[in-house]
Amino acid sequence: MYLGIDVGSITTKVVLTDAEDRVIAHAYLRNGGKPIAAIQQGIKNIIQQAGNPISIEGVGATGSARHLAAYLVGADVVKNEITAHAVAVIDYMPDVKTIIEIGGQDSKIIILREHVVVDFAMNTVCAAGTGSFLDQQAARLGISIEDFGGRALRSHNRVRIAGRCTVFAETDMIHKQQLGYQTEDIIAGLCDSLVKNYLNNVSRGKEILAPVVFQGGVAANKGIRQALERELGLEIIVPPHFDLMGAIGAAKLARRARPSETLFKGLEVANWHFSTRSFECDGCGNTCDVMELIAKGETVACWGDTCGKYSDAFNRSRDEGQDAVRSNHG
Amino acid sequence: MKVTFPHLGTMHIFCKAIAETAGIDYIVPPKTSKRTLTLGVKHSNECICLPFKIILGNFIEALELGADTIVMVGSGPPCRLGLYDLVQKVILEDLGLHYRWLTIPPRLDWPALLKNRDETRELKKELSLKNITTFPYALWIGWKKMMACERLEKLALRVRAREVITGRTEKMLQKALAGLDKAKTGRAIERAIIEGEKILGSVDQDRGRQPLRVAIVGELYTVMDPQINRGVERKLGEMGVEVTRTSWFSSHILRSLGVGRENRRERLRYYRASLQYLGYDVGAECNVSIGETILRAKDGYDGVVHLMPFACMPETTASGILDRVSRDLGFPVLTLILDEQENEGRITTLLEAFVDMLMWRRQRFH
Amino acid sequence: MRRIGIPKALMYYRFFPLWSAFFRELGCEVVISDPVGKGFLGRQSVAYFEDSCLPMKLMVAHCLDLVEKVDTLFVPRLISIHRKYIMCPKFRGVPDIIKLATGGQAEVMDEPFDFRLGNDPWGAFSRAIGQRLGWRSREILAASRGALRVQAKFEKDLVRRVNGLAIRDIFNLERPTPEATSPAGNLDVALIGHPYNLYDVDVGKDVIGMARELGCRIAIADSLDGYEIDKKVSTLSKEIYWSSGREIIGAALIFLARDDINGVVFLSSFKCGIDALLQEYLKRVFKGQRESIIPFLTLSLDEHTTVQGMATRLEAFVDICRDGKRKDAR
Repeated sequence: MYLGIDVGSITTKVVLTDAEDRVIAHAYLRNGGKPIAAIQQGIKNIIQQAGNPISIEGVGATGSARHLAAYLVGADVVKNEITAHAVAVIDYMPDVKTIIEIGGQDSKIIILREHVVVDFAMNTVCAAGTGSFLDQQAARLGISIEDFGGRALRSHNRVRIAGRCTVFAETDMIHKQQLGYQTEDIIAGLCDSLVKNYLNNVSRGKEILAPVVFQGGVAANKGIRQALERELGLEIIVPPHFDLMGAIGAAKLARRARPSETLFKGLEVANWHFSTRSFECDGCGNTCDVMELIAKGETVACWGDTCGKYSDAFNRSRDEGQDAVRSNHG
Repeated sequence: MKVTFPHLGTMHIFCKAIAETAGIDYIVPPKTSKRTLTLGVKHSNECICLPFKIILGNFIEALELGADTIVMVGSGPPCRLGLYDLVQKVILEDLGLHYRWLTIPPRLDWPALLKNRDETRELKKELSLKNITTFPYALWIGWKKMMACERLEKLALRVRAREVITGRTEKMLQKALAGLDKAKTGRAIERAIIEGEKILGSVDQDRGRQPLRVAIVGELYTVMDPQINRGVERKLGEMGVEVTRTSWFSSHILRSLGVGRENRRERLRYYRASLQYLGYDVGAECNVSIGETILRAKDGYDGVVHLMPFACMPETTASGILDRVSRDLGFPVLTLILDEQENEGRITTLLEAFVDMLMWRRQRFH
Repeated sequence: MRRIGIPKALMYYRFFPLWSAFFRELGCEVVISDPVGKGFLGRQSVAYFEDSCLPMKLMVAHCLDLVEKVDTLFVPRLISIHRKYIMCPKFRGVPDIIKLATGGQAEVMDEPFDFRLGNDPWGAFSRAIGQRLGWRSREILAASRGALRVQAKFEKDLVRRVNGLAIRDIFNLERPTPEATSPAGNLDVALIGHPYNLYDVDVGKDVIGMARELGCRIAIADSLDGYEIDKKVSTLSKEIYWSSGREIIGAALIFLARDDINGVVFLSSFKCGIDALLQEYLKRVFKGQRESIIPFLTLSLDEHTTVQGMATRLEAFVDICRDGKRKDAR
């Protein structure tokens, strides 16, 4: 069995797959600013769901905090989320030509032709065109994000909401509320606005051909699905595990890598006590935040320094330690 | 008098050599860091290009350390680079910093000399006869060092793509460059090159590896300075990609001096290739970026990475056209627009995905 | 009759009288693009100039509007419009971008216009255009001279048109120029910036109209002596090589030193390379002499700019100018 972990900026996704890439168990959690705890909780959930004893043959990590995940649990494959998403879709739908992924703070477009990725793009720092845009506006309207999509579908007269940027959209939305528009119509307008932002900021004139697969957390939102279909004039397909695709891709990559012996530290990592220690290095003007991951009173990883002063020293001492262990055995 | 100059790739190594050999006091600005960038960003307009901000930051930090004379290579129209000095002078004065400014004109003609008349006169007072007489020799030493740096860097590009232990080449390159930095005479430089090549040769390489080939094109500051481009060249290399670029100090200096036939011919070839998409010389590296991409595609390269600062005038045109070139030729082009808000993780993710894509294509199509 | 399309963008706002008179005298029908409206940024082809300034993006939108209505798009390659100095480098690539964006649906007339070359650059340019349209030299010469007269008259009238006509009529040649009106007690405010920032409603949101409504009489750089501007700019430590940049810097320096002007507004485009540099320069130069000079306001324009936002700033600014004027009178 293989473990795939996708740690994004807002949510963490963990899946357990079998040798045929079927999902046996999965977990989807909000980070709430504590990605380590989220990863551990995710593994716990998986153990519970799977029921039977689990033997992990390989682990893949992806997402913007993939390195943290890899340090934490020990991963055999650490892959960027763009590749992971593409890998996950290609077996689900081999003929896919466009993958649209809209997540919490990241969104991507991946263009494939003849089963090969030929182009891709990711949003810039701006959050317009990502899930957090919807989160913010939903909070402002006082409705839950789960209801958002359904209510958008009930709109008969979509409001045009200007907004290439969250701040501007908010201003315009308040303006429209003051003018007395129905909430449903404003919600539909916000969906259109997000889709337009996505097409402007991320896809930027790339050729979107069918079949189009839409995934990422935002794909749960029916309003956005509808707005995308309207805007593109194409049918879009939402895969069953749309919100877990990154993690599935990572698990798949771990299976393909076929590690002879996995680096996974074992399921008990879920119960270990991890803590992090950070300090600001004042060695140069870069003032890097150096991070250390500590488990059982011992530093298990060190990163964040641009020059490698601390991480190199750590790696060296770790390697020497391992060599010492090895020579003891030999 | 304490001379200073901005950072740009390995420029500090040979600028320092020139000053040292001519017996002029100098201060190398602290290595470009987050602080440098913060200073530059704080004191300039948000839409001014990233190189401007970093150079400004370099100057502020050098002046803090006691430098009093800034030497800056000028440039001409149509890009903003040519007016950096006009605005940077006003900003530094406004910050209450005191300095003398010396622009090396890009072309030696009368208007340029007239504009620099006062600066030159001012400078003459400071220099001793010895400084002036040794200057040609110093320039020669500087040139030699520059060529030596480029030779080592080019070697490192090949080695890095095949290194067995990730990051090893970079360490050895820094060691080789440090050795070169210490060389004082022409002969010492020769020795440092041989020594440097030996050091780089000591890196364990996987000789059987067939690395992907990627060319880096774009605005010259962004291409040449690893601080500005967040180490794109190194990152690609460490992902097992053999990187090529045509922007080197030597090629740009030779071009502005109007010498070097080989160099000129290459540039002309790129320019001609660009004409099918861009019917005119837009200036700076715009046409070369496009032309080089077209020709690299024909030469069997795996892809091109196009670098530009946010709101760069000529490269904005290039990025729009490259989009089309990429689509027409079915040739991967990754455009990275750099500014101070860009986080390094995103760049790494994009580069990794780009390299994965190239590998995927290679397995599929070849 | 041949239909020539002139996109209502960029240097239309300087040379429209010249261009249109020339084509009309040669017996062509001149078609001007319609206002693009708010939705234009959603159009995919605008992506070619996505990273550029708003005026450039509008250029693409206007050409797309025209492409089905005309035989030929008139998009000259503006290298230089001054004896010695050049245009922004983006102008050099405009025809190529337009060709890509319109996908060859219409012929693009992209003759280079370089005022630095030869004795009679306009003559040479008009000849090239006329010959391409298949006219004889004599007719072309007559038309080009006639067009120059139209342009000269228009430039002479421009200040009065700016102060007497609604913004959409300034470049409507069928509207006669009103007589000068200068009610007493008015404020004199100078507006500087690239012509397309001043006169294009989609960029500048009709700042001219707003300022007039607030009781200002508008002064523009065109009312200054070109020679005077040039002399002023030549005193700087470095030659500014963009003609538009020279005009802006020179006009700012002159207006701010004049007693009969109560305030100066600089309209700059966000992402405009020239403006970014000039803005910084002007800000720093004037900072040292804030006490002695008249109020100076920089308005940064992009697709997020709203009429309300502009109005608020302008109103506050005009109040400051009025206070300043009162103080002077005392």
